[in-house]
Amino acid sequence: MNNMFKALPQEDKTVLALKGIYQCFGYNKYKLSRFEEYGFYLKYKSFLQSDKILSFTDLDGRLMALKPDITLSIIKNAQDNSPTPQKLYYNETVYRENANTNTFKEINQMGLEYIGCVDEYALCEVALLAKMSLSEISPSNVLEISHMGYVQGLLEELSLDVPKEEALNALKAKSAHSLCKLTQNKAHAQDLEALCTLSGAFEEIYPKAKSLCKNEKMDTALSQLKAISDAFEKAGQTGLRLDFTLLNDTEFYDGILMAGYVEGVAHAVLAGGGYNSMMQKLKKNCGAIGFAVYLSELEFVKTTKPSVPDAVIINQSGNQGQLLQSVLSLAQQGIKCVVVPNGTAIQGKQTYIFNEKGLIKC
Amino acid sequence: MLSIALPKGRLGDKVYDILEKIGYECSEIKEDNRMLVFENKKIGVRYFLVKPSDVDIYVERGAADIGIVGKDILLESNADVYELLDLALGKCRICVAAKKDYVEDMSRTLRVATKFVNVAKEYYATQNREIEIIKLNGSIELAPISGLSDVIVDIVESGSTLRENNLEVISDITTVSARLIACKAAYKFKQVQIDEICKKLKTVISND
Repeated sequence: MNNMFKALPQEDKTVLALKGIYQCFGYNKYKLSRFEEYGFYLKYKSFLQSDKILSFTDLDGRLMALKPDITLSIIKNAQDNSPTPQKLYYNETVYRENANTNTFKEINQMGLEYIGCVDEYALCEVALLAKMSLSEISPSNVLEISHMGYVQGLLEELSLDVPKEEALNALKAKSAHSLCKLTQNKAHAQDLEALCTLSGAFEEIYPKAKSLCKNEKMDTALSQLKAISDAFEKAGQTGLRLDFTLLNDTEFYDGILMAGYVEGVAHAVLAGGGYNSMMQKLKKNCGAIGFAVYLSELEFVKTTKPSVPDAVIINQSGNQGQLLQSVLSLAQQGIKCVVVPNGTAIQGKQTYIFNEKGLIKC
Repeated sequence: MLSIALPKGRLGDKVYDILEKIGYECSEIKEDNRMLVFENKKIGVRYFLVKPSDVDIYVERGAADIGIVGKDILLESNADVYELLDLALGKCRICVAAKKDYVEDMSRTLRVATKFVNVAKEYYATQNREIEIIKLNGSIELAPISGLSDVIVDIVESGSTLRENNLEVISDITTVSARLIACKAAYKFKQVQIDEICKKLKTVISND
């Protein structure tokens, strides 16, 4: 069986490995229905990545939606006063707009959520699991972390001539030249430029980030990030980056932010963060942190040619039970084999003929 | 290897000259041929020559690590890339223009001809003005002259094309220039090289 497992495509192996990791850390599988009432998303549409929702009328007349998001449903169903944290993972499909084709697309997404009191240990555990997930996808990976509290803390100190969203957009684009135009105050412009350039290996950027701290909010945020870095060091994890231009989904996340990249893929393959205020908005009296791995992106990790069978067996004649036994024996060794009728030509790494004499290597 | 998407044409030529000056030379690029990929393995740089409006796509999707693109194209595409530097090259404005004797009739929908559909939509949305967009791909100035539209939203450099066609600017939307952009994922793995080229370009710009 172990050899047969090796024959699985890399993406499938990754999914199984991630499930194994999450289970070992005490996360339980969470199965959701593919549908949710449309009204639920309408109420919280500002927290969705897009307001385009694939809807349909169910047989009982209710307007339903194919899920555009998993976390909202998980929050909705979360137990409010559980004495222990709810630790769960999912592997689900979401339906979102494909802006390039102006159609809906299916996105396969796997992720985990930690719901409860998010203390320093919980932060570090979720960040470590994010890093371990990336390492399962590719050895060449980086986990980038940031904190909404740090960015908001600085923006609160500065006098900007424009709405805060404009500053966040310029920051997201690492556009120092645009940021500097947002305030007449030279010192404030310098602070914004400094924030924009806080990007790189954690240990290199941390002292610079520390010196830019201007209030308690920034200090608290940075100390949470430092706790993650310290935990990573103890766990022997490398490849942690600090970048305050990482601002994914500012409507949803209010704490730590995470994004994971693997070499060769143009988009983040992992994204997540802390969303305590979102929990409060959905009337849940606890905190939460989580991340999603975009499995659909994994097909771009390595461009491999479609694999040919390891063994092609041309079935000429003979005892078919004996043939099946031979195929089983090969499969148990992890050899992918295909039996074809006599006269058929398909490409394989090794060709065999099966006849009265048994299996003969060509 | 750092891959750079350069726009074909005048802007690309200008930017290449600067890049050559700061140590990213690839002399084959100046030869008269139809090649689209040029490489200098010695210094680890590869250039792609692409249509100006496609530069952001190459960079956003990671085919090129960095690229040079007009802000007008970025505004229109909303590409998810880092906009690292304003190169202050190819400076111009995106404006609303109309025939010299044009008087806007506020009682009816405004017909706007443009190739910058999103820019125009956003601009008029801030004014709460009902508009009908007419998407054109070139010779935009012809639209108000021929009665196809009331106004146009287009790039204005010196204004001479407008003047020659008896048109004038009635409002400025924004100023645009060439920008150095980077692929977000590539930046995580090649930050040192990208920051270095960015720093060198900044020095050249501030000296000019």
